[in-house]
Amino acid sequence: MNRKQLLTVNNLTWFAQEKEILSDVNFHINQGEFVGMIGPNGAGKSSLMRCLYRVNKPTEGSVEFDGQDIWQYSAKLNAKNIAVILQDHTEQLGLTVMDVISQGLTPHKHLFEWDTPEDRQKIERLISEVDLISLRDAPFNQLSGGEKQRVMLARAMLQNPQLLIMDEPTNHLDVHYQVELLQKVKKLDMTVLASFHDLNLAAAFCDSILLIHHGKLLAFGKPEDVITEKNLNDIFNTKVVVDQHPLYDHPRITYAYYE
Amino acid sequence: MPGCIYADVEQSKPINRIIALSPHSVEMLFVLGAGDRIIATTKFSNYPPKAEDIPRIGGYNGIQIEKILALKSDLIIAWMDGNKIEDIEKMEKLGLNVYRSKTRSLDNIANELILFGEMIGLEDSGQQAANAFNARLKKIRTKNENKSPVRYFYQLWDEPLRAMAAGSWINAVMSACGGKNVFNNPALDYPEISIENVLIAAPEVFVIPSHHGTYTGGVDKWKKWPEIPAIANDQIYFIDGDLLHRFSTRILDGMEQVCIAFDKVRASRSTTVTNLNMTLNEQ
Amino acid sequence: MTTRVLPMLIMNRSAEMKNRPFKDLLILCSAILLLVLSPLLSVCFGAADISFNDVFAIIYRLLGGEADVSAIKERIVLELRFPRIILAFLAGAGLSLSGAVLQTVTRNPLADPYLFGISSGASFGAVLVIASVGASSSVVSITGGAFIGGALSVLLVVSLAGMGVQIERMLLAGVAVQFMFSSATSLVLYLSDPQAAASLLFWILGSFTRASWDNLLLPAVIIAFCLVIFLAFSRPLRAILSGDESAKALGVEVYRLRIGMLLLSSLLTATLVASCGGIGFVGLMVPHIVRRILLNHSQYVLIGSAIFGGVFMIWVDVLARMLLENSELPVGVITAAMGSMFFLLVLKRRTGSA
Repeated sequence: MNRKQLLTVNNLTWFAQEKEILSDVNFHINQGEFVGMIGPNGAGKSSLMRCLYRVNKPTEGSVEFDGQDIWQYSAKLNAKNIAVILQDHTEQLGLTVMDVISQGLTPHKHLFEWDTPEDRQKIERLISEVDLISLRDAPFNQLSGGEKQRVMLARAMLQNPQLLIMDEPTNHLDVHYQVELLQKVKKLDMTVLASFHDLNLAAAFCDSILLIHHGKLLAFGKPEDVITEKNLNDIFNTKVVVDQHPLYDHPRITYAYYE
Repeated sequence: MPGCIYADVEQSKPINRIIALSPHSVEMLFVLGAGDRIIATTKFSNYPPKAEDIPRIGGYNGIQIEKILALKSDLIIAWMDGNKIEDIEKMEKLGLNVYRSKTRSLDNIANELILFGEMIGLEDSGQQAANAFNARLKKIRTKNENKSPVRYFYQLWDEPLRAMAAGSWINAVMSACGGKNVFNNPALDYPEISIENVLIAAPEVFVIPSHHGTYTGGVDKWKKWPEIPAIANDQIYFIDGDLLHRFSTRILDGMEQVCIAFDKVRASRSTTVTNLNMTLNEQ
Repeated sequence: MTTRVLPMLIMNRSAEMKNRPFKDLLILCSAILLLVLSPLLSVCFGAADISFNDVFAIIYRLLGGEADVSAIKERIVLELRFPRIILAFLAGAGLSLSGAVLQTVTRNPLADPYLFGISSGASFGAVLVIASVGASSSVVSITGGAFIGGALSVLLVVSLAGMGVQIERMLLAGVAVQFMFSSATSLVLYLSDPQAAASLLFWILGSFTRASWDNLLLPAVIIAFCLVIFLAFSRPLRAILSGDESAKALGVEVYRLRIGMLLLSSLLTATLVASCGGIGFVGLMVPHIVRRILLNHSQYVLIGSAIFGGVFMIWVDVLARMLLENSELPVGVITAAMGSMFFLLVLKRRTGSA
């Protein structure tokens, strides 16, 4: 099955204030894949993601979406292709759940274009898909972490991108909501790139995994190839046992807590 | 020793070096013949012309106290309305001989002349000047006391429009000529007003004073309102503000000019006068 | 916290759901009523005794009908009061609009033209022109001075805030610039004599007494122009509310938009300061109140602020000419008094619920 390359990263190097944060990163993501990014804190995961959704400009190298350098066209055009779900949500100044979800239309609308009835129908449908109907007029910042992520998911779905990038989306969530979010995302007809802290989640949901350390891409491949005891020992400096998950055929990571 | 501490205003020492911290005290001292004793004064002390030569040591925004100390004066005449109270208190605390000139009332001018005279050893001059002032003032008042009242608007400032109202002491100058201020706000002496307020008041005459020689704004904007009797009858008079706002003997010069103006107003009454109040009250 | 809030929300929600269309209609009707009635009612207030019947007759005559009303009353209403009401409306609308946009673009509910030093810069420019040229300086040069002062303050804020135009730096820069221009203005005041100082105070305290039909065109045009642009960008502006990064991910050019809105806001504010002096707190209070009323309609906050702010200012001006007998109170004094009370209320609410 020949899937097209949706996102291609070529020799990406990025400096911030004279410090090299990312060095010579090369990889590509095919359409339809669910790709995970793992690595210790400070490895450069977020910085790399920011290069992909056009916030950080590469110092060297390039990022291409569907064959075109993302810096060749406007932020708005890029936002039609790529949506992002971040881990932190700032003070909203009184926005309701509906308002936040409606933001998903921003890249698709011209300056004076108002919401059409079709838009409103779409939004209503999405709200029910993420089970937030009862909260549709609630202030966004009064929601729980899990609920906020569902709102952002609905917003991303309204944005209707080809690629969904998620920066540590499960961080502040309870286990139930972590699993629920990832299950929902997996069901979407979108290519996904998400970074994880929880290695087991990464192993369970991803088709392939990027292992980032000190700004370098150390490994990229199927979970069973990247998540190995050696890699984890070296990178995370912790003792692990990697075997196969008893219920599925993806790796299971078990940590050794005692000496 | 720079300045000696005196228990009260009278002193035995001759007062030869005077610092006059207001234009009006400068004028008064010259009237008494003691103008040459003034060693320093503030900005705007421009009368008589000789006064321009006196060195300045300050203005509305404050006086240079260090210079005052260095000058070794015998008497400092200060002024509550024009000098900063902090400056006055500081000088008094430093033990300088400070006299706080009392203004704000027409009738005080003669008293001040007498007091100045006593302070500087020219009692006779002071008494003479006071008598002359009072006599002249009385003459003006008597001449005008039976004349019909003239309703006037005193436009103190143009932008924003500001009136001198009945509570101000300048009112007394106008009243001596038989004037009646159309603005008699009990609370404010110099209220900010609008064109509408003047329309309602329907003054017969506008008195517009100059400020340091310049007249603020023109009367063009008033020309649009012939409903005001003063505008319709072209009764607008410009008078030198120094003669009306300064607390000196020349206030009688200003007063006489005002009286002349008011007489002209009375004379013009036989011609068409639109009585605004009538048209406003009819329904 | 959410385990308690959530059930409460759901219960409130179902009640609200039923009332919402009614509530929306109520808000809309009130807005229209206010907008139409306010000018008509407020024109009855002033030093001269003019009743609603008189006003009605005057308008009727204006439309070509025959009515019996004295010429002087007609002149007062048409040449003095109506221009004043319109200027007040424009000032209220413009300042509220400016405040709403600044609050949105900086995600700070306390932002307003004053905070960024725009008002104090404009006041300083105007004051400098008057102080140097004299009280008889032309309206054009005073307006020009206000513009330059306002633009200068924006430039300073932007350059101090640095390339990234981050909000915190911008706010700090704004406060610094505001203090700088305020003290410069104070200095100019200090160095002038009392009567000139009184005149300069107008530029700091604000007043609508100078309103006339020939000086309404410029503010009206500029406000309309800015309103159109703000409305055009209302969607990207609302995207910024969820964070700079979130907005960038939605395709918004955040920094460019922020600077653009700041410049436009300063143009708006400088125009108003030049026509009516410095009037504070309106840009701060009105968007706050409007946001509360239009809780579920954030897309109408801009227009709502303009309308509510304009109507608000019409009535503030009524107070300005009616509170003191036979004289005027500067508008800025009234808004400052209201603003401080408003602040106390907001503080009380916050500390109560926190």
